[in-house]
Amino acid sequence: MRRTVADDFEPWLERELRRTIEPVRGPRPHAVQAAYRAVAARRDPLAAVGARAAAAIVAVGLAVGGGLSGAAAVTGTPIPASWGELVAQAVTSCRDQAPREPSPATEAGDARRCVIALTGQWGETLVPDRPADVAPAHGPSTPAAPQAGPAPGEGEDTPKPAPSGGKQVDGEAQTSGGETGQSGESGQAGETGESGQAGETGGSGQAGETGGSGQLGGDRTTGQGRRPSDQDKRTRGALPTIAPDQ
Amino acid sequence: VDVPGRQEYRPGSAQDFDRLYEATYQRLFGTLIALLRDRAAAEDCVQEAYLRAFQAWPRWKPDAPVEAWLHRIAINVAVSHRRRERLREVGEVVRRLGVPHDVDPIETSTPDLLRELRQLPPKQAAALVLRHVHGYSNREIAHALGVPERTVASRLAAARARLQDRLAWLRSPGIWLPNGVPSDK
Repeated sequence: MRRTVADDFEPWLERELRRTIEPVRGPRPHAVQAAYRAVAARRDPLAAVGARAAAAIVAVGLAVGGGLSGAAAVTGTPIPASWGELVAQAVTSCRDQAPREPSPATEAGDARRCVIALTGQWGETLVPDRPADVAPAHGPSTPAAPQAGPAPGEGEDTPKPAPSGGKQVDGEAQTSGGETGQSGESGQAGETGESGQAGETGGSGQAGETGGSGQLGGDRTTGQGRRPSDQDKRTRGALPTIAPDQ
Repeated sequence: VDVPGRQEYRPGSAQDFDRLYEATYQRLFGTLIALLRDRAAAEDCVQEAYLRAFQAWPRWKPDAPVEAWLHRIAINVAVSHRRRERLREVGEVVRRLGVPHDVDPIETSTPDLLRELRQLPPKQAAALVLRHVHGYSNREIAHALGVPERTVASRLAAARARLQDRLAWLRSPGIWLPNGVPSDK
């Protein structure tokens, strides 16, 4: 039987291919150094950053939306332009109800007192960085006077609910059931602990300690309102009650 | 081809793909070194192939032979690379018209068989390596090349004949003749 070169060639080819190619080794493969790992690692941080950005946007949106809806609920109107007008009207009527001898000092004090009373009624906080020369003309220091401390778990910078039918007893805002719903989303956020945590970890809590927009008269550790002093009660009693729908 | 732990690979699992990478890297590299001009190109193409495979890993069907699937991706990457390389070479030739061609150190240091293998169409060269180096079956070669199984035998025969023709003039005359013609010896 005759053998062809093709019969010889195939074994030779296989032998030569193995001899030529098998010794050729690439670098030792480590998956951690592979290109696909690097690309995957580059993608993951982007995804994480994207998620963080989305979370931040949602948080900011909730904060802004909560503040706006809270203010709208308190003033009874969704139009921000009319909020300032409502405040001006309320302060004017407050000053009219407590006539005094007109002088620049007493007028400023009246306005301030009315605003404080107003914010106590409407649940807004006020920056207590009033000038020292106003306080002696109207009695005791006012920052803690008319404020109700936040309920346990409420955020310290959470606007108070609109107590149209509520009454204040011993520094704690008492609201009837249906009115807490009007307190807006910020009140709910406080109940879920978000605002409270923010206050405890710095944020508005620190601001409150340093005289910023934190709670006025509230106990930072318990969230309970500080029991007002007698002078506080006198001050509050001297102020007219202003309904938020005025 | 018996890839260790083949049955345990789960599509989309990053850990399994890491194992697959470490188990199959050298064989893929060996295939591409036969198709491409040098080691650096082979390494680049292997990494590119694993990158593409990783992106497609969630869609891999476990009933397909996983290494043949990887080879298919790698061969396609190598074919694209060779096409780009050819275009570059044409550009070089045009640019160097009239200038003596430098001797390529890689070409001169490459064994004859490997050099001639690289002159074959890439899928023919790949078929030879898959069969004679990796021991693939016709089905696995078909999967790796993306051709019907019945055409694998004819592809292999064509590749062998072509390589034999190219090698014949390098050898002592009369040892091998093309297309199965008996030799003088």
